[in-house]
Amino acid sequence: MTPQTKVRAKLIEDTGSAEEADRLLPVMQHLADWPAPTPTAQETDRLVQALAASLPVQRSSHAWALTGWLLRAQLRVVQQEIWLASALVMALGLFVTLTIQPGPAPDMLPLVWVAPLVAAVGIAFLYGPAADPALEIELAAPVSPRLVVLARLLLVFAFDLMLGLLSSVVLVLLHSGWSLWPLVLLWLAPMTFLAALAFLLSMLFVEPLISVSICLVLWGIQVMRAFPPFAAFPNWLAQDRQPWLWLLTLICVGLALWLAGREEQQLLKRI
Amino acid sequence: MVTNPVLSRVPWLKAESAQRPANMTPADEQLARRVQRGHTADLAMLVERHHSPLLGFLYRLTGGDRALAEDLTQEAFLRALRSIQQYQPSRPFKPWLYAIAVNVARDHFKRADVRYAVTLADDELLALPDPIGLEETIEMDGLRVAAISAAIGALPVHQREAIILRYYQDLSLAEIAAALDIPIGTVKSRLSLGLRHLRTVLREEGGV
Repeated sequence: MTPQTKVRAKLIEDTGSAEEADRLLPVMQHLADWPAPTPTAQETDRLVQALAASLPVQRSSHAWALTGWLLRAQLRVVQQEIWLASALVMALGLFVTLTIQPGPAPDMLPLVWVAPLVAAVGIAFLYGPAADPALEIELAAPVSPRLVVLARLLLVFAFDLMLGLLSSVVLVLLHSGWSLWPLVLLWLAPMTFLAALAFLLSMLFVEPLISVSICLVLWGIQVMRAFPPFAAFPNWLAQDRQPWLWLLTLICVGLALWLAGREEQQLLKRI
Repeated sequence: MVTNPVLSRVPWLKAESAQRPANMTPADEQLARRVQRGHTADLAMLVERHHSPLLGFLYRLTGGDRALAEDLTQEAFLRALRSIQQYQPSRPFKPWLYAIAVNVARDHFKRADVRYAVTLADDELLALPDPIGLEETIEMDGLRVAAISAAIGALPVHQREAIILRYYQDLSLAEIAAALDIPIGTVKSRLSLGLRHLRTVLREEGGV
């Protein structure tokens, strides 16, 4: 097929008429009279080098680097008092547990009561005006506020989890009658649930004291079960109720993240 | 064996390209997928492939202003790279790139407050001063070049985009429809109107 018949076929396709294509063929010959410049090899090299600076970082390493950077950045934002207070309260819980002789039933151990509260209070104080940077800084960050919130939650929860595990190991080492896994199971589900609830409540209420109070009341009811008039309260620590606690935890975290995303949209609308 | 001239000239790209089998010519979409993961050698291949056509497209769209076309070409590549994560490799790459180039040119026209959409009669069109960059084209090929660039430059911008994409860049009707985000029927009508317009203008000049 010669170039002219190719162009004619294209014109027929475009106009739907052979006669019209023939009438327009001379126009096409004129179009061919206008050459375009061709970039030199050096110009293309320069363009590639200029563009390479904007190339996305390789995805796998980028994700890890971003996660590491985000966690390090949030580590500096989290109030130092949270780490210290959590460690002190947990140490106190461990000390009291060790000094009670003879030891009470495992689900009445002070450590089992303290661990969930430490996590809930720490997380409740993570958000709000004292911990959050200015709106402009938040929106200028290369990650969404939702990811920032999640990173902070992970940091504090991981710290409390580590404290709880360490305390449990110490208890098991000093009391041969207890085994590690059943002991961890006693506080792990309530701790995760209370932390998730505190996270959700801190998304709903600006004032962290409200979140802390609600968590304290809920957990207080559980603790009061140790005393006869309140023994009829439901036992969250019972093994058969723990799947429900995990489910509620998931719901709380999901709702809190949804709220964080909605808040992000509202912030963007305001600017 | 397929060699990429850019890769052979830029030493830091050579090592990366050596990892690819020599007889493979990847499609634009495969290259774009690898660019999404941050592979520099694939970016070089994509640029090498599309630099000249894109420059030609923007050169003609801007009425033959080479310096402006070079700036817009770089801006189009840069914008494509910045939004490469939004590109879906299941869709053809070329219309996606041209859509970005068209938007870059439109943004420039808006910023510069350049009005290319002409609604004057043909005789009035011919009386208009030459569009930008005409001096350069006159030096190259004389009055015929000047006439055709002036005639294309005087087309309404949406017809000009369609004509250049179809008859200079050799895009299919479907690719133009994707690049301009319009139905194929609209592409055809823009082409048809644009060609008739060109024929009328060039006939007035005695060229057709």
